[in-house]
This record gives sequence, C-alpha cells and structure tokens, in this order.
Amino acid sequence: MRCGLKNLIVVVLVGAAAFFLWMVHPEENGFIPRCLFLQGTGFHCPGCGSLRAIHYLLQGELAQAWAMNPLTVLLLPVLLVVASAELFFHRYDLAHRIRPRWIWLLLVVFLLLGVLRNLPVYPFSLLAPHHV
Amino acid sequence: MSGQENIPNYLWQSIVVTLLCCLPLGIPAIVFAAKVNGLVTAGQIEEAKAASSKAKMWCWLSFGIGIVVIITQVILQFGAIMLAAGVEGY
Repeated sequence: MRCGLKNLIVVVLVGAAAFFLWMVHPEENGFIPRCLFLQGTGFHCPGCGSLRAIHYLLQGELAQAWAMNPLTVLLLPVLLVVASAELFFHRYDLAHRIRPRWIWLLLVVFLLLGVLRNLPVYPFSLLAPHHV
Repeated sequence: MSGQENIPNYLWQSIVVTLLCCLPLGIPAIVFAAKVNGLVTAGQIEEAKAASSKAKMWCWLSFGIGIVVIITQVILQFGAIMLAAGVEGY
C-alpha cells in the first residue's frame, strides 16, 4: 500500500465532501447550485440526482437514494473498489478486466436513461429524481 | 506483458465526471476507457497508451469545466444571498 501525499489529500478531500454531504441536504442548502444543464434545459441528464442520492446513501436511506438516481447507487460500490485499487495499490489491471462490451453497455444505459427519465409517462417518470 | 498493467484506463474517473461534472465531455472519456481495455487485451500497448492519454485529457477537460461552472455558480449565489441579506438589513 502506497501512502503518498497525493493519497492523503484525496482521502481528506473525499472525507470532507462526504461529511459535508452527510450534513446538508443538496436541495435545502442555498449554496449548492442546481446543475446548469438542468437549469438551462429543464431535462434530467443521466447523472441528475447523483449528489442527492449520495446524500441519502450517507444518511442510510437506500430507497430514497435509489429514487434519486438508481444508476449512481449501482455504480458507486464499483467506483469505490476500482478507485481504491488504483489510488492506494496502483492496481490498474483491475479496471482492465472489465470487458469493453460492458463499458459500451454502460454507455447505452447512460443514453437510454437520459431519454427515458425525461418521459412524463408513469413507469418512466419513476426514473426521474423523486421523493418516496 | 511488460508494462500493460500500468496503463490506467481512467474508467472510474470518467464515470465520476460524467455523473457529477459535465456529461457531454465525460462520454468521450468513457469511450476511450473502453478502447484502452480492448487494446490492452489485444496486446497493442502503444495504442493503449495513446487511448489512455486521450481518456485522461477528456476527464480533466470535463472536471475543469465542471469545477469552473460550479464555483462560478456558488460565487454568484453567495453574492445574491449576501445582497438579499443586505437589502433586508437596511
């Protein structure tokens, strides 16, 4: 395990961000801006609700986090494992094991989610960030 | 075999910036991450390194633009709140 200054900074920054996000609700805090894309177009991009999803995850409210952004909830554990392996152990081979077809599939899911969650029809509207 | 395990594909960074920063610039980063994996598997190390540096570039571009936009918004919002508080105060 490598304990360089860079890793220390990463841990401190991520820790501070997590603590801040655990404390404040992104919707109720006046200083956390709404995404410019959402403000400008009114559409929910595939990443919309990620900050709120992470907030609810930190608060232990899995169902509410899922309602904000299911993709973020699914991807976060994978991201944490791969990022830790690369940052702390320099194991870049871990990410190489993911077959390209899975990454292409992720891109398709991204784009599909971007379209479907903006449809104002019942089952699809559940994909937009909402409260349960 | 030598050196291929040291080529980062920037997959996690590109997903993070796509979700949290700037979607349009994060997508090409994910595309290049996928290319890195394909090229590493095929043993094309030089091409994999080139794709890796392109993935890195798109990640930083997305992160940079996202951060600049968010900081600008925070400053503007902070100014607006201070201004409103000042107006109420007098």
